[in-house]
Amino acid sequence: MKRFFIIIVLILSGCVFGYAQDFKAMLVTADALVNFPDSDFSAEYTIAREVPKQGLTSTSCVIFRRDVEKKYVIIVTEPKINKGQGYLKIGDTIWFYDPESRRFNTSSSRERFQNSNARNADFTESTLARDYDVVKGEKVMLGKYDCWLLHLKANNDEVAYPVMKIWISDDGLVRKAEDYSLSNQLLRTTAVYGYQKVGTKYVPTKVLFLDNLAGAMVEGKFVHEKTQVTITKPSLKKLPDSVFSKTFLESTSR
Amino acid sequence: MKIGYKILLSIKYLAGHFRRYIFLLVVLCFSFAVITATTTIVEGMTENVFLAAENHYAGHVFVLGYEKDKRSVLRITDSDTILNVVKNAGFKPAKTVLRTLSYNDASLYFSGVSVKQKYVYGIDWQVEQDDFKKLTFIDGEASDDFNNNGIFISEPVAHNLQARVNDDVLLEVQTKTGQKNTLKFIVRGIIRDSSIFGFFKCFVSRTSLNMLLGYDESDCSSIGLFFKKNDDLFEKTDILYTALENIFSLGDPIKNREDFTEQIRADFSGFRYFVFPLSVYISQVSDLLTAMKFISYFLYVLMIIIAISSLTVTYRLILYERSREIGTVRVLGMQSWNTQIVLVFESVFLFLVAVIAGLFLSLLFTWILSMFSYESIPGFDLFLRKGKLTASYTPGIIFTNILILLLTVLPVVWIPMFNISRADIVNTLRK
Repeated sequence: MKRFFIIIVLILSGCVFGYAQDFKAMLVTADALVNFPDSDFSAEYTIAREVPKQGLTSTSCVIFRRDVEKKYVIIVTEPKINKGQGYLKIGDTIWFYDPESRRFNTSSSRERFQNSNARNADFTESTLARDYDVVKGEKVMLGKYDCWLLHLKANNDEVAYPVMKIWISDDGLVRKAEDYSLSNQLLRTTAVYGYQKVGTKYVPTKVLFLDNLAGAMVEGKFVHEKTQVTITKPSLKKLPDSVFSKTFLESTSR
Repeated sequence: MKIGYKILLSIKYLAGHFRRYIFLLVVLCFSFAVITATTTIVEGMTENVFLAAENHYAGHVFVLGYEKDKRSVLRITDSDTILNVVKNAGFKPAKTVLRTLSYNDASLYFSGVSVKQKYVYGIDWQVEQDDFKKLTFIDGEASDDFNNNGIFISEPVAHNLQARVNDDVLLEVQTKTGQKNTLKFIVRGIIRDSSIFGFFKCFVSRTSLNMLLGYDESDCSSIGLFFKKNDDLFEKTDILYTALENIFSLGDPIKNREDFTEQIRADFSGFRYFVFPLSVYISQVSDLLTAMKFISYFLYVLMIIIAISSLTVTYRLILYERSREIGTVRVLGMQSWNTQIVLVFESVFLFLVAVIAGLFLSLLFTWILSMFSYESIPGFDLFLRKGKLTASYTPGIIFTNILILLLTVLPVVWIPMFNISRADIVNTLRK
């Protein structure tokens, strides 16, 4: 009888504990901490892609974001061969500008950024709360962080990854994410090494994207293809409207 | 003089003077061999392009569906209605092939290596198994194992992935709305396919691909109609277009590949179907084929000119040498007209021997040419079958070549014949 009561109490406390956590609110907070609805955002990004047995390639770029208007501009500054290439996102359309051909081609948020493991969508605002529902959540440790591991399922069919797992630390920041296909195949792992505070917002310092499918055997061990993004000089200063235009991309490449 | 005697006499003369005619025979034989080898190889190359396209696109006349919603996908949701229209329009296709296609949106993964796939075809094994059995498999085979979660990949894809038969490969596609979806397949066969149409392609079952893309089970991307007689495909396309245009939203009739690309890039939303013959797909290489044909015609004309000039000189010389003999025959009472007929028969027999020998020589030429592999020539593999040149000896080509050569040669021999048979007998005998 005593054991029965203990079980009942444990179940009830589990339910209460579970209900006490508003997982959707956690997503809203996670989004809010890294989005900039009240200001513009700019920073310098260094994207280093490492392909096992092939070596390291690096791309530097400057990013200008205006989340409130769903716009961003990315201008590639290095390597020299790609200098002047740029991306302009307005609404759901992304244009890629190539200074060699002086042409704009439409791209997609799902496409790889400069052939790295990062996607064009990784540079835009976070929309976890809008696009995903939480299937379940559990308390886990991720290194030194006490985290909530949330199992997410897309509530619309427009996102590239229909299933996700994210680790949110007590401060509300996303520390790790796993992206899955519709058939639950792990495709990509994202690890955020740390954040830097800019005003009341947070900007990651280093993000590692690990391609869970691509890689090679190196000395008997499977090494994944990965891309590390380092973000420096973040700023929330207001940007001129002219930045978010095709003309700006064309003029910077000259 | 009876015709039988004339024939007999001409054969006797030809046999008697055969040594004189050897050079003529060689010239005619060689010209016919070169002309026939050239034309049959060009015809073989054209056929190979057609066969490669037929195998790749699976059909002679196509209905292709395009849906533009959140993104553009190749999709037909009314295949049953379309098949009914085909039936009601009076078509009796030899075979109807429904295929689903994921275009430029997929990747295959194996042991960490990924290869982008330009074409992922979903096929109905029961319908297409005979066609697949005709393909060259460098590993594995076209067996019913395909239906058991199987995938056929092309040789370059297998090479890049370092995958072999029975390996598990992961196929990643984007659903109709752009979500990533994956499924493991077992490599059941590696197809030797190096043609321009199918470098990076693979085949899985239509059911699996429909499921991966988020399509309904009965959906497809294209309906291909195979016909036993395929020389009136434009006419058939027009009939099908007229039958479908009242029921579905159709794109304008398509003239060539550029037109097709322009139409699918046009701004529209929802479904739009396109009806076109196979030649639209291969119109991208038609310029190349025309260029090849021009080269062959140039060679053709060159050989004819060589033959005519050699024949003119040699035949005149032979007749000059035989002028006393011809004069004697006429003195004995043979009329000028009959002399001409005997000489013509002589030439015709010589021509027949040359054509038969030339045909064998042409077969030898094409056999030697087909011994070598031409795969290393960039872009040339499109015209090859299994990496080699093939010649197509159709009765039409051989008959045309014989006729053209005969019509060219006949005046060349008849004019000197006419002159010598009507020449003054006294002068002829004094030569």
